[in-house]
Amino acid sequence: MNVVIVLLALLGSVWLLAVVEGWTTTGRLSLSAPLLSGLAHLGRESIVPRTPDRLFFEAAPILFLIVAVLGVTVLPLAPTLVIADLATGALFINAALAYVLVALIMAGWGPNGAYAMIGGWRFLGQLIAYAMLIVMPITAVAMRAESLVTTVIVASQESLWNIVYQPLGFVLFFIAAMALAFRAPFDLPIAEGELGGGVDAEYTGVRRAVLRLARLTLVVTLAAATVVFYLGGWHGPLLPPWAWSLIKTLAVAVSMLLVGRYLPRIREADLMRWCWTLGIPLALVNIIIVGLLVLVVS
Amino acid sequence: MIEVTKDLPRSADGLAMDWLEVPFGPVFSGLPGGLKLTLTLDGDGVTEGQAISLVGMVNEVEEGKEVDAETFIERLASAMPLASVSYRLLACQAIERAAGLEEDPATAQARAVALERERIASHMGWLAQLGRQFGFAWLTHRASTLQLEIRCASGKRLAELAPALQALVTRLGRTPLLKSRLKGIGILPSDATGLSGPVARADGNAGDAWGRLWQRLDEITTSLDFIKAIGEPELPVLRNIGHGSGTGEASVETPRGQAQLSLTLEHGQVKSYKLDTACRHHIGLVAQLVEGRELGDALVAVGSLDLSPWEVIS
Repeated sequence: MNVVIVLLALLGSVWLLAVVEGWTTTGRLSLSAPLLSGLAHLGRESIVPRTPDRLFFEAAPILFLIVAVLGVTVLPLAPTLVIADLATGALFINAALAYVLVALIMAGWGPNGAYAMIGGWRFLGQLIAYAMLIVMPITAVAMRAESLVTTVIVASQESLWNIVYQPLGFVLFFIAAMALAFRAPFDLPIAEGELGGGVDAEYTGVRRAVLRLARLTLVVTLAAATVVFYLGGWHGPLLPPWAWSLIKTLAVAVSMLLVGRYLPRIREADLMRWCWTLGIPLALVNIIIVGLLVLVVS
Repeated sequence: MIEVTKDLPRSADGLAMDWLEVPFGPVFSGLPGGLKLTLTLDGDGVTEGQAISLVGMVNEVEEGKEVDAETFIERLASAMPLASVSYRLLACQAIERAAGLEEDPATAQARAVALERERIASHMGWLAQLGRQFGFAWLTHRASTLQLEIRCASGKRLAELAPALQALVTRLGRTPLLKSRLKGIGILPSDATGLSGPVARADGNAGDAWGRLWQRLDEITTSLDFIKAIGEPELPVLRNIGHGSGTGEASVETPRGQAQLSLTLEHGQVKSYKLDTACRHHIGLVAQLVEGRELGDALVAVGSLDLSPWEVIS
């Protein structure tokens, strides 16, 4: 039952996110827009480029979607509403999301096109850098909860959310999550103005629909992870726990969409440099601060 | 491994890589339509590149196909869709001088206001293009909305839009990441010749893409002040030249730089002409600006020149 409820919640969140994305892009708020857009994709010819690596080309969108959904399995909507309450849940998310890299490299290599290939390799550098900024703040979160179990991590924030306890970790995690989801201003793998769509460029029809669905699902998954790790998960007054989880997740996901509208795309060299020379030292500082706080409090 | 890579070209770091020749344009969201940029890529770096226009006009009148002055003006204006007022003015001035007409100060002022209005609209169009290149949706939307309003705005409406334009300029100055995307990119070579317009005027200000952005933003403010001081814009219309004959030359500072036109008029018909534009010279800078740059930076450098493919005369 939990599987069905969580997947329905995920689908609903993706739907609403697609509505907001359409609203910010076209200026029209339409609940049916995602459905019409999906049908339009399905109605279009699914063109296969000349001499593709067929296995990579076909498998990449599906793998991307599976990976994005896989991350949600360890994220609780409520104390008992979680698909798999793993003992290593916090690390499982990071492990699952690492396969986004595999999916994008496949999507870049598969079509045998220059734009897509450059997009794929761009994401390789981007993810290697920013995966560290995902896992290091999670380490500090786990230190406070003294557990990697996601439900325990949420329970540890009952009196004080981690966004207050470790704000530096929140900022780093949020930025890294946006880079991992390659949302603007970190959208280098698909950069429309530089690569004409990059890894998306050669996909049309149903394959493109799956890619778009996977990308929105990934945003929701990362937003849900942000809520679990930093925004108190299901905690909140009046409303039932699952409602708080959904509201917070949608708020974070929408903020991820909106931030990019007001910023130019970051330079690739700066993206790497800031991560390795600033982000990772700050993540270490965050771990030290949280460690000291845990010692003092305990 | 040695067998596989022995004949491949070497990167700057000594690695043997496959180099790809990749076309960008003529329809590409990060570049003006009609411009075809061909880059040789070594990974994500550009080893060489060149730009050509696929829509530029030919600099001659076919033998025996002289056109009357009005038609010539319309043709020239419609051949330059990104600066039609500037080229209309250029043609009017050259023809009127060829016909021996004296300049009328009132008409010249009204025409100058129209030219400055077009300069503001053109710079807004460039900002929208910059936004598309950077995936900066807010800038694209705001600048293109203002551009559409300004193109046909009266002097009064332009005065009303002035605060919105000033707010946009202020906002760009405060936008994070923008400076790091433009600073130090597209620095002009010291031996570059034939430059004019914002590209040349920004040369004293570091001569990079960041300097060119601020040069254009300064020009928007200057043009607004000029319009405020002078009055209403008036689209250049040819005065009565009768069946005049002669040769005439004119020069106009278009939004992209100086355009010069010399023509021969016979009984009210344009027999021959010679046109020179800023973009014709600026497009030659592309090869030097992109070489050795990362792909994103190379495209920014090309974009910062504000090339209009229609104004590249062949």
